Amino acid sequence: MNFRHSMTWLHTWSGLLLGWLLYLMFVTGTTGYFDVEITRWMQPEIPVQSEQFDTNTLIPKAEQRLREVAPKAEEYFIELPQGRYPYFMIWWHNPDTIDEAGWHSEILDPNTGVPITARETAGGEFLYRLHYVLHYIPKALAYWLTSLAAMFMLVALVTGVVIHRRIFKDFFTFRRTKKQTSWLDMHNLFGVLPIPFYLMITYSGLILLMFSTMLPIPASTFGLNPEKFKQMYNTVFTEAAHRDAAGIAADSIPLLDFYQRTQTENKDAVIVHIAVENPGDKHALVEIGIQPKTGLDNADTTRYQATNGEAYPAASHYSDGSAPMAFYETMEKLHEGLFAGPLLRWLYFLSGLMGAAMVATGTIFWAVKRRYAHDKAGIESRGLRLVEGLNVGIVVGLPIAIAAYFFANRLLPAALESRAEWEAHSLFLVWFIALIHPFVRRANASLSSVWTEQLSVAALIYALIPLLNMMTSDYHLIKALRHGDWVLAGFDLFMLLAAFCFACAVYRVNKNNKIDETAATVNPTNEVRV
Amino acid sequence: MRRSPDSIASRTAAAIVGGYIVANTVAFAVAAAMPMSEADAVLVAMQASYLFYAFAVLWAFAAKTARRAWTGLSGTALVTLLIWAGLRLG
Repeated sequence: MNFRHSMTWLHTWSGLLLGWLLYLMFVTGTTGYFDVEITRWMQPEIPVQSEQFDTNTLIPKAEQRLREVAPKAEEYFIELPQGRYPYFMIWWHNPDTIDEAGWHSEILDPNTGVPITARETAGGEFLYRLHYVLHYIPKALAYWLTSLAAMFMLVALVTGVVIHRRIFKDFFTFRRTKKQTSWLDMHNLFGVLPIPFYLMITYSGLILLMFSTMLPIPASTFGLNPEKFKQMYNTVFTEAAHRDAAGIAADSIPLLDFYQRTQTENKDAVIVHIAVENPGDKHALVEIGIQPKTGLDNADTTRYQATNGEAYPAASHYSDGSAPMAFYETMEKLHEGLFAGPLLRWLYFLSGLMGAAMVATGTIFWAVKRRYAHDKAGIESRGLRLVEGLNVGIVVGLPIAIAAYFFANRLLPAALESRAEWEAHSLFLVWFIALIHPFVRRANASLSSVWTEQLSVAALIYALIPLLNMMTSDYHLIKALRHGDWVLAGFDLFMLLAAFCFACAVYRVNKNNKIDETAATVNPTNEVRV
Repeated sequence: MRRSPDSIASRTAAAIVGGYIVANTVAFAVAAAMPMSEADAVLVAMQASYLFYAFAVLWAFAAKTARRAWTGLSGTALVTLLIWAGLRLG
């Protein structure tokens, strides 16, 4: 067996084994590029975007609210409206010593400055976290599993390139009518075009979890002494020039002054946040965050002493003087794509969906190829039936389950205890049904009718989401469009697009079936490649 | 294409377990050898370790026999551990 053959074998099996987990990671990770938009849709109590914000009146209102609600906070900040999330938000971090420890947030009504009481939801963050924390299992285990899947993905990418000697020729090959080979051609199309994206997203994903999966390496240098390791970890990750609280209360200058001052000093600055460290303390610092000029730069921040308005040195990052850390941070930014503007964000989204499509078409091709050989030889294999059934339940079942998650968001009672968790349970419950459906149905139905059934359900459920939105909130698609609220309208429009794509898939499956039936009677053998 | 089940099981173990060990030992040596601060050297080694892992996996399946796959990985682990020990303890 030569090198290329071994690589083909490795690609086929490693791809299948972790393909389904990778599909989940691609789909849910991709939703992460629109996590705040999804959360916004899942909190319909938030009014549609208003035309103009009176920032000058809203900043004092936000500051006043923070003083009321977060008197003990170690740090708080105001997030100013931006393209992706055009709302005023306040965040505060309470010390671990009090009951309401950790981060808290509120959305302020852009017109009145009064906090909006929105329903409890797991939001877009749940879908995004699903791609590396998974669910129902310990975090550490999830990190190892997803890292393993990413490692397989890396191997599948390298072997995929190796086995495609004719990579460019294959890329331009699409045999629409030959069922089996057209699956392979599609797999190649989705697999080759975004290869730089896949390599970046896979490698950076691995690196982001390296402090869970590659701990022997620091141990090889620092020994098994946890203190030395912790010290190294804190050095590279913590911002330097942090200022400790003095423990003496002191009055501070209103935040609006700092905002206006930054605006006069720097006319082009887009101010994204105003943060206060140790609010109410003599050593309180005000930090003004300015959108960086180029995407991958760290956010520009200017810091002032809150009590007298004097400038204070900006926080320094370890990465300023360390190439390895700068590389790490660049990979992190590339992976998360937080810097991406609307166009690039959609490109990220599209690349992620293509990744999901690549994995899906790969696993489908795996099954179709074996089905063909088995049928020809007259073998019936349980393993193959299992793969075929799981392919449907995962490739179509997961999108159905995600739609069910959005339904649960609107249909579960607002006062339900641990509502956010029930939204998540709804997703898994529906997915479970979608996973067993193929096996129940195949007792007396063909595989293609199982595909058709789930694809039809997917088309229907996605088409119903804008309707659901209309019935369960005051802001339907037309109204959102009229107000120019593209976050809200975009969500509903994308649901309709998804429904359309699933409907097209139903049409294709039906049509292919007819072709197959005719082809089977005319020409019982087809040329098989690979 | 057929492979004997023994060979497959053995190569898979070599790839996953052996590959992880080799990725680490190579990274140990790299971390010890890099002429920079300890923290930076560790960051380089950790970030490159997945590349070593990928090479090890490819090797496990590309080697002529499963035995050779294991020999190659064990040899690499041994040599890199010696380099690491020499640099750290020597």
